[in-house]
Order: sequence, then structure tokens, then C-alpha cells
Amino acid sequence: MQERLDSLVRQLIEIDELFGDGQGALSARLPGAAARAARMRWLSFAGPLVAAAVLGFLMVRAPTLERPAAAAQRVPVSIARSAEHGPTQRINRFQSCADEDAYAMVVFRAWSSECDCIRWRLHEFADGSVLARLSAGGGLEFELAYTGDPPNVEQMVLLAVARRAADLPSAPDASESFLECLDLSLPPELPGASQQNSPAAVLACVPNDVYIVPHAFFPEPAP
Amino acid sequence: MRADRQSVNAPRASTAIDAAVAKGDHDAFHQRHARFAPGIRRFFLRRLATNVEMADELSQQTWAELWRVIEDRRFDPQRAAFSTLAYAIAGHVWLRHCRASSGRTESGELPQRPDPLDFAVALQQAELLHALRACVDRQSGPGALEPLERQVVLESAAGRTERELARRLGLSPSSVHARKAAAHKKLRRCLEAKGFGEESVEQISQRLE
Repeated sequence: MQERLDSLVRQLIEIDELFGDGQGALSARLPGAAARAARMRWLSFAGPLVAAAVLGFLMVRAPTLERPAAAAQRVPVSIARSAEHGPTQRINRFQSCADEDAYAMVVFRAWSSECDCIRWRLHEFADGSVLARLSAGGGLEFELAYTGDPPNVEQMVLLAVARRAADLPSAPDASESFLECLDLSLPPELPGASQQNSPAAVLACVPNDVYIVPHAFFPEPAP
Repeated sequence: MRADRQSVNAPRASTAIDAAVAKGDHDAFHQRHARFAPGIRRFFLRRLATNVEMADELSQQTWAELWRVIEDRRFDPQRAAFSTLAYAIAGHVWLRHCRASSGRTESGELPQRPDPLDFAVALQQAELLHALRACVDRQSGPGALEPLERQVVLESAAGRTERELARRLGLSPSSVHARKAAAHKKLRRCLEAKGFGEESVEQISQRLE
């Protein structure tokens, strides 16, 4: 329920960002909101002037500035989940939607009975590959079935996305190192633990041209 | 004096327009279009980044669907503001787009006629969001959020971790956690009093995934 409330509040914040004039916005109720609003009004006036001045300065200096590679490579990808209960397992169906051609790997956390802990694993698609092609405007669907996971373990599914297949650690050696890096960066935890900083830690395990689309959730308890 | 007048009159004018829209008033609907169209477009551009053409197409679909809701007299401004309804419909148009994208034809074309939207779910979502806003926004009375609780709820929903919030607010992480739990409890009770028990919140949320 907490996750649901967070998600709904996030939607309210987005409504305010998209449509609000700031008067009735929820964030206007925060301490210091009046000062922030004043700063924003000042910035909306002074910002363009400052930007023009900086641009003029840079044009005179003719510097060799480059856009950060990671920002230049980013492909918009969304991910959504629906859950279904089978007799012995919970099936989580994921659907992602990309707007440009890209490649993706699915990494997820799951309970491992070998160590009685949570470990990272790579999802294998129907053809046995760990790499999927996302076509512009198209979707990628995959399912993860959880069997023995305690329901209060926070699950984390990550899409590692890159424009070029070669940038993703999909070869056997590379994927093994990738998973090892994840397990070391995010040590296995006990049930009930939550790892809110997972995406940041995952970024340390992938090359610059790869970025991460995270999706965290708590599995619904069996009916 | 002028500031007081503006803050009192602005919501009233907005409510009056919403009431006229609910009755199918074309002019009021055009006013709403002029006011909210840029926001709807931004909603899709956030999700589609550089594909401006598709963002415009989905924005148009959203306005067409919104008009259908108005024509069917399903919009009740007492239960959801027009902006909240517009957001909910845009969300459903986006979900439909994502689902249709995975069913593209071999030539890469999207289906000509999109599936009809499930208005009931969109309306339920808008009403739930409207109720939650009232709960978060309530300034006084039993069950109202304290300013610090409101801040924790808003900032943690916006992505701040409890540790970050603790640093910002000068509290211990456990204290932030306790504040958040207390705030969520109040919000759950408030929603329940407005007819949205845990089960219905869960149901509506699941249908949006």
C-alpha cells in the first residue's frame, strides 16, 4: 500500500508540474515554497539573459565542448508490470516501450535457495538469448515467475539499455562479471530489506554507454 | 488586497468553468483546451522525448477521448478536477499506445483504429487522485498531515531516500521512517473515509500497470 501511495502522490506531483500555476500545487505547501517560487520567478526572468550572456561568451571563446556521452546515448524507455497468481508461483509480466531502436538486457533480483539470499540474475528470452532488440515505438514483453520468494522482499527489475548491442555485457564472460559486480555492489540481503540506491550501484557495473531503467516492487501476497 | 482577491477568485473561476464543461459547454471546453493542451503535450513529450509527431498525435487522441467523456456526461467536477481527469485520460492513451506498439504490423504501422478506452478506470483513477490531493492538502482537523509529514510524503514520492531526507531535515533516518509511516496511515484513513479503501486503491492501481 505504501508503494501505491507513493506512486499516486508521484502522479499528483506530475499533474502539478504539467498543469499547475503553482498556486494550488502540493509542493506550494512545503516549507520554503514561497522563497522557492520567488527564486523561480527571478530565474524565469534572469535565466534567459544569463544563458544568452554565457552563450555569447562561449561563442567568442570558441571552446571545444562536448555533450556527455551518456546523455547523448539515452533512449526513452518505459517499463510497466502486471501480476498474476498461478497455483504455485507468481507471474510478473513486464512490458516496456521504447521510442528509438536500442538493445536491452533484463536483470532481476530473486531469492536463491543456494545461499538463502537475494542474488542478481539475467533473464533469458524465449530464444535463449539474454539480449533483446527494442525497435522504435515497439514494445518488449517478458515474464518473470517467482516461486519461493518471501512476499516482503523488495524485487528489483532493471533494463540495461544501449544503442549498440556491443555495449551491453551479454557475452558469457562479460555477463558473469556483470552479475558478480552487482552481487558485490549490492550484497545479498535478508527478507524485508529494501535497497533504494540499487540503480546508482548498478551504474557502476556497466559501461558509460549503457543506462539503467529500474522497476522496484513488492510482490503481491498469494490470495 | 489584490493578492487576496486573486487567490480566492482563481479557484472559483476554475470550478465554474469545470461545471460548464461537465454540462457539455463547447466554449468552456475550448477554454480548458487552451489552458491544458500544453501540459498534455508535455506529458507525452516526457515519455517520447524527441518524437514530437507522436506526442501531438497522442495529445489529439487524449482531447478526443476527453470530449467523449464530456459528451457522455461522465465528468463530475465535484469528484475530480478537469486537470486530473485530463491527466488520467492521457495516462490511459499512453498505456494504449504502448500496448498497441507491441502489436505493430510487419510494415511497422500502428493499428488504424485504436482500441476504445476503458473510461470507468480512467474516471476511477481521476477520482482517487482528487481524493488523495484533498487528503494531502488538508491543513487542519483530525487526521490532517503535519507540515513535516507532508514534506516527507511529497519528497519521498519524488524519489528522495529516507537517508537523504534525514540529512536535509536534520532528523535520524528512523525518525523519517516513522514520520512517513504515520503520514501514510493518515492518508489511508482519509482515503477510506472518502470511499477508497485499501482494496479499491489496490484494484485501481493494478489496472493501471
